Amino acid sequence: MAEDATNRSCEEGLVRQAVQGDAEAFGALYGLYLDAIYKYIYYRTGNAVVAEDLTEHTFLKAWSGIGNYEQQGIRFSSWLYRIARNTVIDYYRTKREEVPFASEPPTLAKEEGLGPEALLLRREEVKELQHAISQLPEEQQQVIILRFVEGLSHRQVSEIMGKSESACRVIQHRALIALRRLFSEVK
Amino acid sequence: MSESIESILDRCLEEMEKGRSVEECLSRYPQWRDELAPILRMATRLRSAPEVEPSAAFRQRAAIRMANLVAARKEPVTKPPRLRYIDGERQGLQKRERRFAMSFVLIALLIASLVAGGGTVYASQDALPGDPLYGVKMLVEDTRLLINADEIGDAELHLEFATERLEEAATLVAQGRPDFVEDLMAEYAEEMEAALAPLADGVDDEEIDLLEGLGETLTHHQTVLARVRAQVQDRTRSAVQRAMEVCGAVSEVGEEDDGFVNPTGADPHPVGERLAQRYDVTYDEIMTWFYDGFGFGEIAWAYSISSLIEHQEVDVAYLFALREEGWGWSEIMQELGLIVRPPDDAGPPDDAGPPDDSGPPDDAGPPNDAGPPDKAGPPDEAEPPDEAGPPDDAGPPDDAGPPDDAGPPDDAGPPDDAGPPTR
Repeated sequence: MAEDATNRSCEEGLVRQAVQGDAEAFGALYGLYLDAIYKYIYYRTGNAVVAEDLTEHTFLKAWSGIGNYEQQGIRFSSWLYRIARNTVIDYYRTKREEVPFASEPPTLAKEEGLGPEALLLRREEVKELQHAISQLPEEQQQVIILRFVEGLSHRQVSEIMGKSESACRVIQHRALIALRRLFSEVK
Repeated sequence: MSESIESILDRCLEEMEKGRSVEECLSRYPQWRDELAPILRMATRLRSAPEVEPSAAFRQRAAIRMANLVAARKEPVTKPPRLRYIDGERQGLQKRERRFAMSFVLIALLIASLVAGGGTVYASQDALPGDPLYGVKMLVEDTRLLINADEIGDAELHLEFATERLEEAATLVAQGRPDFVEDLMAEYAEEMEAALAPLADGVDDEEIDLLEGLGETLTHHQTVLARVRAQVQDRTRSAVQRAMEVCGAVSEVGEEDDGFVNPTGADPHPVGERLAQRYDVTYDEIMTWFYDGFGFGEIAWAYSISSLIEHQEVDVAYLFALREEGWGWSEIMQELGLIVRPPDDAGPPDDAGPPDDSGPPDDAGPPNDAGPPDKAGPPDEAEPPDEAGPPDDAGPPDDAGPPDDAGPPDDAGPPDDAGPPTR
């Protein structure tokens, strides 16, 4: 708990500096949230190359708009997730009909020590999960990814989605039932 | 009103996060078992999915692209000062600064590496000036300062970095590579001054903790500095000398012109309390000696020696009087028959007691600059007292008593006729 408070305090300091145009502070925030934002976008798009591209766009938009951040009244990471979500939505709206990037297998966080077969299986597991999530309505995708992939609290999910916590709980329940049904249909 | 399924699901998910099994959760809500079981298993599957992350190649490419784009919006900036040692490059000493667009890329990569457990960052920790990874090591330090938010945390980091600079200097000297030692000494001094900055306007509770750890650190610093100084020459030697002066000045924090003060400001002083308890005397008695100018390490030695001597005249007051006359602790112990004088007068053996010029051992408190300079202990640490020993008021350590194995051995008790030494 104390560690959380300390981390929060450190982050707030960095955000304050970044808002004032401190590129180095923004670099630190970029380093802190790169993996989380990438992971979120990967699960929303299912394509490692697209996820990389959109992750960069997300941070560039954040840097461009950081002067307006404090007016949003939400934590910095929630603000970043909102930008990432809009970036993904824009991507689907404008590029849907174009030839998609070649799909590359996702990079896993703990690939070291895995044999080729185990690595293949784990990558397949991720792809299967991502594919199932992508079949859900957008709101349900959001809640499933933010809650179970990113490990965020209902409080933060509700902040990102602009909904009440109880609404997020209802969406979570429906999403899990739908996801379970999708897996049952596959098997 | 009965609880909704959404809330029950949430409660179960929370409990599972704390380590409960699906079955344990289901047993608490038997009426919901059929509905909950499949979705809790689905949630477990989601949570245990392998984590994805950006590829290493993307991290590097993206950080560089981001840096360029960010820099395009800001004024051009200079090279981070701490990269000056990369590939042996040396530039003049500059102050730590925190605003380099180019360092964006490094900071971003570094933090991403720290989060992901980067091997390069780990490997850089043993790097020395001139090594390719030394820049990364400096960057790790800068980043730790950058992401630390409180003043005391900064001070502790500066103290840690000062110690690191000293160790680097000692290693370089031992390897016969003294080229960077002069710069390292200047950086050491800068780090020490930065470490003490929070104490400039008084001492609060948090700062007491910082001070309490300081005594032991300064003792270590003085020892290393003395060793380095003995092995370098000319300009580098002068730089080491300046670093020793800074270290000495730092140790004087808490001393005021109008007399000796308790450097920690703590009342009652925790070390004083512990010593009183250990030697079964009153707190006031301990603090009387303390306010007379004796450090807690000194006080611990005096009571420890006194407890070994049966002779009525050899009490603590007598031992302190000898110290004020200039006797070293090992001299006193030799005279009392607690240790045997070494045959060649080369100072006491390592395991026989404290060397005259170093006071109590490291964990017993800072040395008291005591002991006649001409009765040197081991050559490496036998610096003159005014250079090598921080004064008593440098801040007492947590454990102010001499260690069990540092005093006289069990069978080295005083001779039956042990009486007060005479000069």
